[in-house]
Amino acid sequence: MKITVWGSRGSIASAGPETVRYGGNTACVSVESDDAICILDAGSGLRRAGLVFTGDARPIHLLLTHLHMDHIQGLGFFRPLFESGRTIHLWGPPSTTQDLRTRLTRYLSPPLFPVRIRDFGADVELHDAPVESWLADGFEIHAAALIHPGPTLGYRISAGGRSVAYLSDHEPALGGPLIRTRWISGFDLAVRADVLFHDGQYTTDEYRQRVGWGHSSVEQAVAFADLAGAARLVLFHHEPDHDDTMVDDMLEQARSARQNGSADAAREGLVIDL
Amino acid sequence: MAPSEVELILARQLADGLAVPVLLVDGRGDTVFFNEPAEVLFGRRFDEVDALPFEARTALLAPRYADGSPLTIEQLPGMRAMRERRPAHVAFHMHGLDGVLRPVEATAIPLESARGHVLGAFVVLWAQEAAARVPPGAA
Repeated sequence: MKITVWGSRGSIASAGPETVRYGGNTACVSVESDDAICILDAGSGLRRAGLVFTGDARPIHLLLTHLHMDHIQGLGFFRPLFESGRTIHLWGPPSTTQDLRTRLTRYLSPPLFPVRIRDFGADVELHDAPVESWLADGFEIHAAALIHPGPTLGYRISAGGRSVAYLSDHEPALGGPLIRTRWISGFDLAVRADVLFHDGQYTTDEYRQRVGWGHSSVEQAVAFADLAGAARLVLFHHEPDHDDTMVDDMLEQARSARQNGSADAAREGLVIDL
Repeated sequence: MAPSEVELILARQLADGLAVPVLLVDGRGDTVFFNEPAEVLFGRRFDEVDALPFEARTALLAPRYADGSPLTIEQLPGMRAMRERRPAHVAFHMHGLDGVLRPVEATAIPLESARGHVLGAFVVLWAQEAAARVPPGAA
């Protein structure tokens, strides 16, 4: 299992000299096996992933956590979607009111975007993420709803006895103190994961000003990872106004605070081999 | 115990912050939480009883109409709300876990997930003398 970070930023792309080390592209992480490619979220980082995966014969499963713009804006620039004869599976959060295609079409249609889903060259198969785990070309995938505004999922991908959990936008503290695991959103996705990508957008002070916005502080991300027993925490969804030095400081805080595991901060180009 | 669904987690947090008595049940009807104002009606702190299986709660509370006839399982507000997928209002008497019989009214709202599953019910309770005047079967 090879994990690659293509976009680590939250909310809005924030390219510039002050973000060059961690990167300015929004959420996108790929998980590869010999047999398939899973891509978590379709933020602006998806464009570069598409350059690498164009012409790759492995099936692609695109897993969307939710439909906020920073998680879907890369879709229209993902080259494999324009490859004729290719099938791409697109999974997303279910809704009782509109299907996934209808909701995505709000973005992938004029005037916001010139190309419609039906005009992609590839055969795009859209799926509501099911309640039960499912198998996708050798990956076992489990999706669960998370605390974040609007229908939002987290994912756990497992293969060959290893697992990666991806909870990019998540405010578990809104459900109460991070103490009793039964009452912690997303907990079962992260239990004993080898790698846990978790929202760590805010400092503790920033979080106090933004309770209910759907994101976590570094302190909360560490507490969540420790409770879940995740081996390697990767702070994700960096605040767009945080420069590299600020993210360095937040990472240092996470490393100092972790009780039973390591901590990293996601940066574009980070590769993790499991 | 398995983690709760996110909708139940948020409902519990809401209930915890409200001044009106609230009981939260899961899709099976088991009590998974009641808040501090509800502790007065149930006659026991939640931390003392924690999660009550449906059968145990029903046996202990012995809900009944003002004339003494028991509520069937189907008539309980949370069960009705989940079965009919719409709010249900019922006036009845129940024994608190302290043994005191109290007239109450309850309105239950089904908690349906974005996936279309009924995950439980959010039951708001009132201690009402008026409940005693509601004729049996009117709710």
